[in-house]
This record gives sequence, C-alpha cells and structure tokens, in this order.
Amino acid sequence: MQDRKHVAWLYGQLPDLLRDGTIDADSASRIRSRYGDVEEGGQSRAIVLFGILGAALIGGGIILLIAHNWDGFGRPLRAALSLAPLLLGQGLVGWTLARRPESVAWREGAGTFLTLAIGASIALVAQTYHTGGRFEDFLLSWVILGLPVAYLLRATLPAILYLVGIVSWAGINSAWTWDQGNWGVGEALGYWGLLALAMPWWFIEMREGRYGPRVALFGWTLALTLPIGFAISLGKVTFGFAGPVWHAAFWTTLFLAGAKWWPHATSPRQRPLLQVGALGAVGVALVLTFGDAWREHPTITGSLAGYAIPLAWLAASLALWADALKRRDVGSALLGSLPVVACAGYAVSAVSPWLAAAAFNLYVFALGVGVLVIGLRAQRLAMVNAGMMILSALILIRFFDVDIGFVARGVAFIVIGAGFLLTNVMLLRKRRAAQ
Amino acid sequence: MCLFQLAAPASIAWRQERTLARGAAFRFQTAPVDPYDAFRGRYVALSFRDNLPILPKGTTLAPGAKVYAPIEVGADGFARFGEVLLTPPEGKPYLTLRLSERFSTQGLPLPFDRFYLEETKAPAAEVIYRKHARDRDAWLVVRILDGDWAIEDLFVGGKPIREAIAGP
Repeated sequence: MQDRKHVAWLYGQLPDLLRDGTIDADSASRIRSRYGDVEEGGQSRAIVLFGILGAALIGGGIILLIAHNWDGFGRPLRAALSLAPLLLGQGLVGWTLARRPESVAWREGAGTFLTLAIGASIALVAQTYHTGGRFEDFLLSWVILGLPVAYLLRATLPAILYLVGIVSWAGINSAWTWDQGNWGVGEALGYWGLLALAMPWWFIEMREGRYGPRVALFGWTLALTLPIGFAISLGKVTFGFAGPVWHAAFWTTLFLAGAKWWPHATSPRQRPLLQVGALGAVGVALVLTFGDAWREHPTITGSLAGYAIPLAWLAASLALWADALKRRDVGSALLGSLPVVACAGYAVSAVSPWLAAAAFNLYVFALGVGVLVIGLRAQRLAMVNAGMMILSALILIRFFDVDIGFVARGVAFIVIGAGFLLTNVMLLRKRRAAQ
Repeated sequence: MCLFQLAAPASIAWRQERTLARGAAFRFQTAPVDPYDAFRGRYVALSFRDNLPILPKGTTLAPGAKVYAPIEVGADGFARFGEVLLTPPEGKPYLTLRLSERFSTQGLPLPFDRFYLEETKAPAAEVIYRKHARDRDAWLVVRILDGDWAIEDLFVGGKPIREAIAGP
C-alpha cells in the first residue's frame, strides 16, 4: 500500500515537472508505464474485491436455486431457466461495456459472473436432460467459452480461472490415460496450446506497466499452475529420461524470465516468476546433490514429438542464461547456469552417479557463496539471506544424509544460526550508518 | 462470443428435444451403483449389465473413434446391444458411441449413466431404485434417433420413479 501512495505522490508531481522542463513528455510516460496504475491501490482495490466477491456469491446463489431441479416445472421450462444465468451475465457484460467501461470493479464483477454462468448453464442443461458426459470435456468447453470474457472486459478473474481450468483439465485427462497405459501425448501437448491462448491477455495488460497488481496476480497463478502442467506433460513424454535436465531447465527459465523482464520490482509480490522459479531451481539443485537422484537411467521412451516441450524449455533457459551473461547480471547467471551443470551432470552420471552428485554439491556451495557475496557487496539483505539459506540447506541436507554424531551436528547448527544473525545485524548496522 | 456461449447449452437442449419428440423408445434393464457428483447436483447413478455393446474380438481402435451399436429388442421386451459396427447399420436402430480411453473388454460404457432428481427426493429414490434393480425390476426408457439418445424416464416396479417415491 505504502509504495502506491508514493507513486500517487509522484504522479501528482509529474505535471509540474513537465511544465518547468525537468522532464520531457517521453520520460513522464515512461515513468507511468514503469509504475502502472495507482487507481487500484487502497480503497478502490477493496471495491474491486467486493465486486468480484458479490458477483460470485450472487451467481452461486442463482445457480443453486436453479440446480434445485424443480420437478414441477417441466423440461422445456427448466431448460430455458438454465440459460437464464448465461443471458443475465451477457446482459451485465454488455451493460458494463456500454456504460461503465472504465470501472475495474464493474468489469471484474461482470466478468466473474459471466464466467461462472457459462459453466452453470452447460451443467444445468446437462442435468435437465440427464446427459452425463466426461467432466474434463465439460471443463474444456467451459474454459474455452469463458476465455473471451477475460479479453473483452480485460478482467483478471476469468483469466485466472482459465489458467486453473486448463491445468485441471490436463490433470484429469492425464490421470485417466495414465491408468489405461495410454500415453496421450496429444492431450499432454494440448495444455500448451490452451495456455498459448491466454498469454496475449497478460502481454496486453503488461503494456500498462508490468508491476501492476493484475499482471502480478496472473503471474502468480501462472507460476503456480505451470509447474503442474509441465510435470504432467513431462511425465507423459520422458518417463524419467534425462529428468534432471528438464526440471533444471524449467525452473531456471521461470527464474531468469522473472529476472530479465521484471528488473525494477519494488516488492517481491511483483515478481512471481522470479520467486517461484528461484525456489524451484534451488530445490532441484539440492535434490541433485543426492547420489540417488542420478542412479536412475531409463532409455528414451515416449514419442519424439513429445520431447518438443522439454527441449523448448531447455533452449529458452540457455538463451536467457546467455542473455544474463551478456548483461553481466552475475547473480542471475549463477543460478541460471543450473541447466548447463545438470546437462554435464547427466553426461557424467552414466559413468558415475557419485561424481555427478559431488559436482552438484560443489555447484550448490558455489551458488550459495556467490549469492551471499553479491548480496554483501550490494548490501541487499534479501540476497544475503538467500545465499545463507542455500548454504545452510546444503549443509543440513548433508548432515542428515551422512552419518555424523549429534555433537558435531549440534555445533554446526549453532554456527550456522550464529552466522545468520551476525550477518544480518552487521548489514543492518552498516545500512543505518550509511543513512 | 455471446452466440457461442449460448450455443453450447442450447445445442444440447435442442438435440435432446428433437430425439425425445421423434425417436423410438427402448427399455434398458439396469443394475445399481451410487456416487455423488457434487458439481451437477443429485442423481441416481445407472449401470447396465449383460446388455452392453461389445467390440468384436481382434478389433483395435484409437480412443475417440466413432462406432455404432445396433439395438435389438429381446423376447422379454428389453433392449440389448449387439457387436458394434464401424458404419451405421441400414434400417435398424443404433446408438452412436465415441470410444473413450476407459473402455474395458467387458463392454463399452453407455453414455446414459445418470438420472437427476430434486435433491430432497434423490436419497429416497436411490433406496427404491436399489431394491428394484436388485430384483431386475428397474429399467430406463431411452429415445433413440439416428444414433442420438435422450433419456425419457426411469421406471421401478412398472412405475415412473417420481410416482414410486410419492407412494401408492
């Protein structure tokens, strides 16, 4: 909230700054696109939230009333009633577009209502006529019909529901095909096609600034659903073949993309890809410090076409890494090198899994130290702590992994803990002194 | 956009009404089960035995393939499915099926597998239905037209299930 206030103040200053020639019109518009909308801060954000909540509740209530399955009404009347929420939603959306196109609360509220109404109408008609059908088919037609609402109203919730819907669809589909020993590469790839339909929504929103709450909300949903979609399509294709490489490539790409395209975030909330990607990448790196992680060596299975997805992620991670190197962004390049290290590890592991694990122990150690040092130099507390977390995670893991006495463990824990506290205290003092 | 959104539910309704109005009625004997599909309200789950369409031995078809199950009426007045065909049979009633990934060799699952009721009536309906299904005294009337189907009513002990719940 606080930084929104500052941005509002800054925007208030812009006209004066323009007038006295301190900045030109170009700079002013760049500043605006850098910080995004301020309207959505504070009170108006609450109004938007209540708009969505209200629409969802009213929509849910109407749906429940109709779902009662009024036996007395007769079939055609019930079918017509089932279409009522949909027509109401469309009317609401039409009214919003005509009369309140500027109001975020109306757009989000009407969009939410219509999105729910689409699913409800299909389900209610299906109930009236006792047509069963597969849940995933119902889900698919619902989300596809609902996506245009997100674009038309530039509404966030329909877009987010779409992301959740397609990953659920992929999950249900894969569970069934898996059961039947049927790999269904086509369905696994279908997720990526569906995802591609939603991405322009994000890019359109980004044109008004990458750091706004709507872009971030979509980003968080994406960062949290993508791993599921990726795991599903990977499971269908590779069956463990070169697994470490694909996982490393996926998380690293998220992290590097977040670092590259959201460089000036004022709060961690604004960088979902970076946050989730970094967490996943470090997690993968830590898992790969275990010798057992390298012991499985399945041969290539599944269809080669299916490898397009993991290979694309690998290519993206390498390209972004090269870019980070070019920009001399050492902090990003350190963690960004994970896929390369994983490739090397995978090549070595065929000969000796132990060697690959040893290499990864060294890598994670170097990563932790590197992040720590960069953080200390730049006096960035978050990075210092991240570096220390990586180091302590590595040390803790090795402690539980290897047979070491309680006394040695106890001492090590105390040393790590003391190190944490000392560095933080020192950094804070330094910062205060600088101020 | 609005038209597509309306078309999805409306087309289901329109096909169902057409089949109900012009299709031929068949009775299928049922066997019981019981789940709860929170998403679409309360219904009686229907299952069928002995009368399922079967794939001829040795046929391999990809999931999603369309097949046609011819319908025959036995001496007891109940309908059964024969071996499925790859083209619609001429001059005989049939049901169009799309193979899912989930069929077993016992027989293809039928698309009509649920009968919805008001949520207050569904529990009572299930008790009655279960008893009659066990006695082989429950059947579903389905209208069939050009391979399309629409459920007309569920009968237990010779009465529509809504009447049976209401009492004698």
